Amino acid sequence: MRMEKEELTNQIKVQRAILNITQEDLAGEIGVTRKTINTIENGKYIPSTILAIKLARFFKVPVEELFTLK
Amino acid sequence: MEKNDIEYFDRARFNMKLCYAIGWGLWMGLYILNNLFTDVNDNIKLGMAALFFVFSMIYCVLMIKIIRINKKIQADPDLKAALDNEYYSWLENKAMIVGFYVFGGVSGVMMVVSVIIPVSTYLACLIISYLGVLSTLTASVIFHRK
Repeated sequence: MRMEKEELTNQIKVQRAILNITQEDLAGEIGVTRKTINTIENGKYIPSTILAIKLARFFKVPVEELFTLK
Repeated sequence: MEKNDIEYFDRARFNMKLCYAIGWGLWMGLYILNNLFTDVNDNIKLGMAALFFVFSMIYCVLMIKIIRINKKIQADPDLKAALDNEYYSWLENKAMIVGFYVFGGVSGVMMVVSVIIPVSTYLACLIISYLGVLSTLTASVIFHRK
């Protein structure tokens, strides 16, 4: 069976633009560093469930809407 | 805890780590070189000893600064949680893995070298721990820089 490579995409940048907040603002609200938000946003780091839920709660959207598996 | 505090301490911690890696590299590097080349000119040895002393002083000062920064971070649980977040831990783990492989690799090389030429146990242990720590620190700095 051939496994297809799965990719996790996110809408953090879009949601940030809607709320008009910077990565630093978001990091402060969530309680992480700006670098952490930056790497998640660019897909370099996959956050834990806890952090994903925190982000979804902050943006008031379901987790599946914020993070999508393609 | 201000959001600027997180970035300030994050930067401060990175800079300290960078200086710490350089300090360790030069301090212990010179010490090992001094032990490796015992039959060099006395003036060179004196110069290396002086440099070794200077770097060990720099290293001690940085060590005190790192302890002070860590104390400030420990005093604020929110700041600590923000700085030591999961991404930071993930990068630290990656750096530790690099250090582990370098440690193992250098140990293997030293074993082979000791079969060919006699190497003192003290020097071999120094080189293994020097490269193990240096690679971990360097990997950590590189990962956090990105």
